[in-house]
Amino acid sequence: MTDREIVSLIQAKKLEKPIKELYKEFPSTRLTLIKYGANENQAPEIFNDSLVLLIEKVNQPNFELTAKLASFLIGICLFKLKNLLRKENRSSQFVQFSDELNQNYHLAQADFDEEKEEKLAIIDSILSTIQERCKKLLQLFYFENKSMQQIADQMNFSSMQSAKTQKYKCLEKAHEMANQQLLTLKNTVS
Amino acid sequence: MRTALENIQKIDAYIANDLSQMEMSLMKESLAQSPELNAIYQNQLLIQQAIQRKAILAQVEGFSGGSSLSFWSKFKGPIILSATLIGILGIIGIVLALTKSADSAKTPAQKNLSGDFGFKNKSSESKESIDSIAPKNKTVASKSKIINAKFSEYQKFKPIKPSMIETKRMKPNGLNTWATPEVQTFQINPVNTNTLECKEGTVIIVPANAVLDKNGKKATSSVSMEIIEALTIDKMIAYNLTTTNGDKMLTSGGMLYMQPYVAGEKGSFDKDTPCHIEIPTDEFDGNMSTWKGVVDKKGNIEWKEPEALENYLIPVDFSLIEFLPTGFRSHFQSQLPFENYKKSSVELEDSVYYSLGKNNNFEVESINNKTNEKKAEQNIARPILSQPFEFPVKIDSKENISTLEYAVKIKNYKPNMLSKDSIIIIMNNKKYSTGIFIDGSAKINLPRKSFFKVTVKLQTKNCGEITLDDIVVSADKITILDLHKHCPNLLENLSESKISPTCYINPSTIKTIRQPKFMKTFIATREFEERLALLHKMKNGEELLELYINNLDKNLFEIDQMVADKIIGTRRLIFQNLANQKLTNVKLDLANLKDIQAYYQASRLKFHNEAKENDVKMNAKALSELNKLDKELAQVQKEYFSHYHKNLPSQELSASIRKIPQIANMRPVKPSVSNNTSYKISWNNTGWMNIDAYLRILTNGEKIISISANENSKDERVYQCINSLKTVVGLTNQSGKYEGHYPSNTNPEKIKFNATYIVGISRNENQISFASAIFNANEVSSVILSWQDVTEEELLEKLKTLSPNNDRLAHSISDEREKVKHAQIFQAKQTAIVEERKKIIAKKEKFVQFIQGLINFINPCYNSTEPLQIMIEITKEKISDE
Repeated sequence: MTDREIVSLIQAKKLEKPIKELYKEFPSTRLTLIKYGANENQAPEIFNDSLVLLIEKVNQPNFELTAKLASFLIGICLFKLKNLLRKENRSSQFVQFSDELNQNYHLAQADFDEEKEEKLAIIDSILSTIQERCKKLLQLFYFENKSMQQIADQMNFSSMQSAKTQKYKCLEKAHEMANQQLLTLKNTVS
Repeated sequence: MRTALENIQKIDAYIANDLSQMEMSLMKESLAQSPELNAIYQNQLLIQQAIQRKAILAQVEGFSGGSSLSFWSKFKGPIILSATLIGILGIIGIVLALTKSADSAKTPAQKNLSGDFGFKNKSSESKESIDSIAPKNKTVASKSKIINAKFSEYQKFKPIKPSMIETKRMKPNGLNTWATPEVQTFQINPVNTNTLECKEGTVIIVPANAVLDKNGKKATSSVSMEIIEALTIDKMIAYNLTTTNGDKMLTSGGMLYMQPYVAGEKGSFDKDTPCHIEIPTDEFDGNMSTWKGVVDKKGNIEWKEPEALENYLIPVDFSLIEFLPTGFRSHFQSQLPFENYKKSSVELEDSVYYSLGKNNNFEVESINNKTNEKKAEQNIARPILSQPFEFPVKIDSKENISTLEYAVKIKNYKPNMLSKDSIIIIMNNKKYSTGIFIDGSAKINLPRKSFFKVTVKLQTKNCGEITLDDIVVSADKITILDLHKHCPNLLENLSESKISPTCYINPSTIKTIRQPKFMKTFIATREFEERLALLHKMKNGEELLELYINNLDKNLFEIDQMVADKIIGTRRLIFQNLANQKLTNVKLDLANLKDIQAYYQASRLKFHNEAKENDVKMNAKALSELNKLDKELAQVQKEYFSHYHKNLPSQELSASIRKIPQIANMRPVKPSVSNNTSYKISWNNTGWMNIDAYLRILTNGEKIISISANENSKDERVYQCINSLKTVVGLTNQSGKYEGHYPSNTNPEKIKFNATYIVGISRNENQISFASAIFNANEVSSVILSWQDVTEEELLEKLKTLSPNNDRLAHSISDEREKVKHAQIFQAKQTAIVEERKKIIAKKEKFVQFIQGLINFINPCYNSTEPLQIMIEITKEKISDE
C-alpha cells in the first residue's frame, strides 16, 4: 500500500487497513526503541501512541505528505521515547540517535509541541477516570461526529435534551479536573 | 445555569461553529479580553483532542490485534513473569493474581470424553459460596491468557483463537438451555498439537493425533472443535447447568462443553492421548473432582461418575516452554545486526545462548563429585575469630613438631589484584612470620609454641598495609575481607579489569534438560518453567536447579521447599509460596529415572565440552589466521633484514623474527652513504689529508700526476678516486691545476692504480659541467679533463656508469636508491600485514564484546552492587618437622 493510499484511507476515517499496514513497522521500531532505552512494555505503548499521533497529524486540514509515513512514524516514536526518558530521569542514559534516526526525530520534533503533549497526557489520564458512560458519550459526539439525537437513541437517553445535559455535565467534570491538574503542572514547571 | 457550565456550552458551540455570526464575533472578543474564558477554551480544545486520540488508540489497539501487535503484546508474557521478580510487594500482588490463574494449570483435567463435564466439589458442605467465584473469574481468565502467552508459542505453536463465536440454537448433548449457547468454533489440524485459547480463558491443549472420527480412526483432515464455556454463575443458569448430584448440591469450578467434528460428523478423543485443559479459577480447591454431565430425558443435567482430580502435572510440548532467561531473546534481537546475522530466529537465539556455556566458570567434573567436596571441607581452616584476626590452633601433643606451615590463599584471586611483593604478616606473641604472596597465595611458618593469638596483616604495594581486624568469621566460614573499605583504589583497578563473577546457570545445563529424555518429566511442565525463570535470576541458580534435576522423582513442592531452605530474603518467600502450592509431579516411569540421571550427567558434560570446543575452534581459527600473518611477516622481515644485515648472526635474526608480534612495526634500515666504509674526510682544502692507509702506501714512493682545471668555472671540484681504498679524495686547485698523488712506479702497490680515474664537476650558475678521465697511473704524468655540460640526472648516470669495477662513489648513490626502494616495499608489505592483523584482532575483540554483553545480560552477578570482596582462606598446608 502506498503512503498516498494510507493517507486517503485515514482521511476517510477508514483506519483498519492503514493501521495494519503501518504496524509492519513495529518489529524493527520495537528493536530500535529498546536499543535506545525503552523496555519491553514501553515499546508497544510508544508505538501505539505514536501511531495515534500520526493518524491525528494526517487528519489535520493542512496536512501535506512531505516525508515517508514510516520515517515520520519512527520519528514520533523517538520523540516520545526521549520525553519518556526525561520523565523517568533517565536522560543521562540517552544515546545519540544514528544520523538517519536523528533526521526522523527532527522531522517529528518540528511537528510537536512538548508542552502541549504534556497537557494532553494529563487530560488523557483525566478522561480515563471519568465515568464510562461519559466517555462513550463524548467519544460518540467528538470522534464519531454523531448528532445528539443519535446519541440519545443509541445510549437510551430519554430525550436529546437529557443527552445534551449529560454531555455538558461530563464536560464540566473534565474541565474541573483539568483546571486543577494543569494548574499543578504550571506550578511545578514555574 | 451555573456560569462555568454556561461558558463551556458557549465555547463548545463556538468551536463547533454553531453560533450566529454576531455571537461568533462577540465570543471572539470575550476570549481576547477574558483570560479565564480563554483558559476554558484552551482546555476544551485539549479535551476534544484527547477524546479523539483515545478513540483512535482504541482502534489502533483493536485493529492491530490481528496483526503483529498481538504477537508482540503477547510476547509480554514472560516479561510479566520477570516483573514479578523485581520487588517483593509487587511480586506478591502479581504472583497472587497470577497464581490464581496459574492454579488453573494445577487443576488439570484429563478427559477422553467428548460432551460436557464440570469440576465440582464433592459435597455441599463446602463453605465456599458460588457467588464468590463468579465475578472474579473474568479477570483471572484474562491473566491466564497472558501467562500462557510465551514467545515460542507464537513462533511455533501459536494458540488458536476461535475462528467463530456465535450464539447457536442447539442442545449440547440434549441439554435444554434457557439462553442460546455461545459456541466457540476452532479449526484445527489434528495432526499437530493445538493450543486453543477460549474466550473466557480456558486453555485446551489438544495433542497431535488425539481426535478420532466417527469410526474411531485418527482424523487427518481439518477438525472443527465446538466449545461452550460456562465458568460464571450467570452462564450456568442461562445454560440450565444446575450443580446437583442427586440430592446433593455441588460447588462448581467451571463447566465446559467440547465436541470435535470430523468432516461434519461428531468425533471423539483417543483414550491414550488425553487433552490438557486449564480452566481459570480464583481459588484452587484440591477437593474438586471431575464429573461427567449426563442429560436426562427432560433435558436437565445431572452430574455423575465423579473422579478425583488427577493431581499430576502435565508435561507439555518442549516448544511451549521457555527455557532461556527472561528477556534474553529480545535483548539478542536488539543487538542485531551483528556480523552476518541480520535477522533473528528461535534457533539462532537458542544456539547463541548455548554457546555461552563455555564462559561459565563452573567445572562440570567437580559437580556431584562428593569426594572432592569432602576434601574441600577438610581443607577449610579451623574456626577463626574476629577482633583481631586470630585463630586458635589445636596441635596434637603426640606429634613432635615445632613449626606448622600454613597456606594463606586469596580466593578468587585475579592477576594484578595484589602487587607481586604483597606480604602477609602474622603476628604471634610479638613475633612476626611473613610470607610473600605469589599468585594470590603465601606460605607462612608458624612456631608451635605459644600459639594463642595471631594477628594477620596484609601488606600490599597498591594500598599499603591492611590489618585484617574487622572481619567477622564464624566457625565454618571462610574469612572475608571487604577490600572496598580498605582499598578503594584497588577496587577501581579491579573494576577496570571487568571482573564480574559469573554465576548464571550454565547454558549447557539448559541444553541438556531440553533434550527429549526429559520430555516426560516435570522439566516439561509450565510449573517448572515458572521456577526456571526465577532460578535464571538467582546467583546460585545452577546449584538450585541441580536440586530439581537430581530429584525428578520427588514432588515439585518438596524440591521448592528444599530450595526455600537453602536461600534467604525475598526469594525464599517466593519459593516458600511455591512450595505451599503443593504441586506434585508428572506421572513418572520410575524405571526410566536412573537412565535419565545418567543421561543428564553425560550429556551435560558433552554439551559443555562442545561449547568449549566450539570456542576453542573459533579461537583457533582466529589464531591460525594470525599465525599465518605472523609467518608472512616473519618471512618479509627475514628477507629484508637478511639482505641488509648479512652479518647479523642467524640466531639473532631468528630471535628477532620470533618477536614479531612485538616488533611488527620494525623500522627498515636507513640507507646512508655513511654506512659505507668510507673515511668521511673532505680533502680539498689543504692538499694532502692524513688518510692513513693511502699515506702509508705513498711512503713507499709516490708520483704526481698533473690534472688540468676548467678555466671557465669558478665553482669546481676535482676528485681523485682511489677505488681500491674505497675513497674519494677531493683535490685542491693549485694555480689552475690539480695534483694527484699516486704510488710511483717503484712502489709495490702501483699495480692497484692501473685503472684509476679522476672526476671533475663544476657549476656555473645552474649549469653543471662534468669531466672524467680513466687512466693508468703507472703510465701517465698528466691528464687533461674534457668538460661537457650535463643535467643532474645525466651527472648521476655518468657517475654510475663511470666505473664498471665497483666504483664506490657511483655505487653508493645507486645503492642508496636501491635501499630506499627496498625499504619502501618492505614497509608497505609490513604495514599491510600489520593492518590485516589489527583487523583480525579488532574483529575478534568486537565478537568477544558482543558475547560478553550477552553474558552480562544473563549473569545475575554482573554489576553486582555488593562490595568487592577478597576471601582469605587459611589452610593447614602440611606439617613440617624441624
